[in-house]
Amino acid sequence: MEDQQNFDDFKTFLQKEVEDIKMYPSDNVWSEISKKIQPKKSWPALTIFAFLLTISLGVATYLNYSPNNALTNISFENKSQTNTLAKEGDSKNIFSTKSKTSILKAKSTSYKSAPTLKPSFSDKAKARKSLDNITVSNNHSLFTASILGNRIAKSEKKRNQSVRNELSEKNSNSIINQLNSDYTPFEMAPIVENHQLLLADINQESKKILFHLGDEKKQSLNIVDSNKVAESIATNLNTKNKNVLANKLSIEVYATPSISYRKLEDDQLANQYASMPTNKRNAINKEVSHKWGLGSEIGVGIRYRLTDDIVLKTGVQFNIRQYYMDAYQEKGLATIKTVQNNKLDSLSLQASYSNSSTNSNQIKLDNKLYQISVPIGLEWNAWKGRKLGFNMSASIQPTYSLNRNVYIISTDYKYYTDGTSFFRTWNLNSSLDATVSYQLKKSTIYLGPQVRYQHLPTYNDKYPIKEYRLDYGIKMGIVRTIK
Amino acid sequence: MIEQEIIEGCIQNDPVSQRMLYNILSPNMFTICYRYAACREDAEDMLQEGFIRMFTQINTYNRSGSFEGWVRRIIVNACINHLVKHKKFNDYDDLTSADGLYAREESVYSIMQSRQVLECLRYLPIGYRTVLNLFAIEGYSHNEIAEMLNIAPPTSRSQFIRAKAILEKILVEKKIIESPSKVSSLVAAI
Repeated sequence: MEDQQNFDDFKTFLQKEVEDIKMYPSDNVWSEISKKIQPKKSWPALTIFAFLLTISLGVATYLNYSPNNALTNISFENKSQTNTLAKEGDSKNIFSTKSKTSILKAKSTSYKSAPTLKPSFSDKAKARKSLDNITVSNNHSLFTASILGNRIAKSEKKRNQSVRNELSEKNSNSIINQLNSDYTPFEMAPIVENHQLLLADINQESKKILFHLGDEKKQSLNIVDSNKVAESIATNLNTKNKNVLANKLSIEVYATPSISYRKLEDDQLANQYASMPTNKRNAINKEVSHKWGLGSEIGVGIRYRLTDDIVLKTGVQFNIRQYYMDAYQEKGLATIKTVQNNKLDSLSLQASYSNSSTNSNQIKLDNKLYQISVPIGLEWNAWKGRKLGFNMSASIQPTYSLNRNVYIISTDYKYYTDGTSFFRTWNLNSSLDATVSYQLKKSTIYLGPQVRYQHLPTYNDKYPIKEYRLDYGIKMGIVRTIK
Repeated sequence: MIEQEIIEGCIQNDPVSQRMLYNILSPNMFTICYRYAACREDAEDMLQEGFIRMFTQINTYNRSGSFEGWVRRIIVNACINHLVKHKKFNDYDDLTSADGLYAREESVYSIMQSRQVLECLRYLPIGYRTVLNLFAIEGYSHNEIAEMLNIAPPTSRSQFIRAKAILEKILVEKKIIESPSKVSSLVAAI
């Protein structure tokens, strides 16, 4: 009985003695815990970059190769064909009975004059399959060019101006007329447009060839060689199409040494809640001593020329941004007042550096960020001389920070402490630059000032002191056209 | 009392709420770890493991009991796991050979009595100390302790009796208590 009493007393004594003790672990315990519990976010920048690049190129391609543009081009290159098409299109009776009658006439003419067409158009299913691929493709170029080759052969035999006309107008239109009779208006519209684009090119090529055929030296050209001529035309057309795209694309490498700094704003509401003395409210910029640091940007990009003066560009960019803070080695408790849902919370963090001190050693803390961003922007070629040029460009830059170990100041401005918990990993920047360019033999170099601004605060909304980073730099780079 | 908002924030994996909760709980929890650990570094490792487990399992907290009690159980389990994992639990050196008691007296002398008791507790070999902590302070039964430490219940019982005797001896030597029988009067005074 006495033993039990003794045991109970011992137990109570121990519990009372040890329960009230509070001990504090070192700072790095939380750092380790924080690393483990915050999931590592996968870096989606490459996916985003690929997606944006695809979208950009898609939009650019659409803008440049829309059917309207294609028809406009044709109108310059082959007036007679466009006029024919326009007449039919304007009347909106392109597939009316009357039109169909004329088409049928043309069809019969076409059958007579171009027997190679007959098998393919007699079978509607085959024709549909081939028409699905009738955009400016290798097969179709070859096919159409083959028809043209036969025509050329005939023209060689007859040396007749009527054949020349047939090649340039009648024969080309006969293909479209043939298609018109087999397909509905809805199916035919894109086919006709694409076909006109192709025919415009072929027509130009055919004129050249006919010119050569007329030459005395080339009169010995055999009919058998007509297919080779056709192949040559098709190859030329494909090369030309590729070059059109390639000449619009260019790659770019650039670097921007910069002065990196920040702008601080204190949240008035948080100040009120925190009962901060009135004279200190929003005086953050006077209370701290910060100095700019040297930053830089290095990037590679791809550019797509939308018009003669406008270039769409995107790429991947690595940024270093930093500034320095005067601080003192002095341990203390940093109080961070946070406002959430109009309710004040307070967070006390252990701090190793104070903002002001009379006794401690002064040191410089480095708030350095390593970032990856994906700039997407437009460049305007404002002026272009023979070699020199003046360009202005703007871009938006979704930005991902690779590190989060930065210092924040307590809301009473007394201490600097670890700001990892409040850090905003994704941010949005924009940049503006004006550069002077100089054309070299195969590439263009440029140089000019750039301003870059961070739109969202470095820390999340719970931290009341807002920091916006900004950089002033000199951008230099080289652009080379893809051929 | 920990605000429900902080717990909810932790469930949502909000870093600020997690930091707040850590700041509130870590002093007490670190003291628990310190009672079990061989050194401060080990105690920090235990605390780290315990908090990581707590944050990853916080969505399993059923909100019916005390949240602090729930965390405490997780921390104690983390301490035991750490001891078992690092094979420190089998350390049963006889305390009577621990001359360091007197060598450290000066450093202990100036601190409060409660801290002295804690330091005295830490002079016990880890095996004894673990059983004493679990039985006398955390309130586990010998059967539960036996299961946790993978020993037989009588072993737990005998270790506790030895640990208690040794601790009382230390407390007397440290002049925190006059004799084991005086514990009752000391408890009454508290």
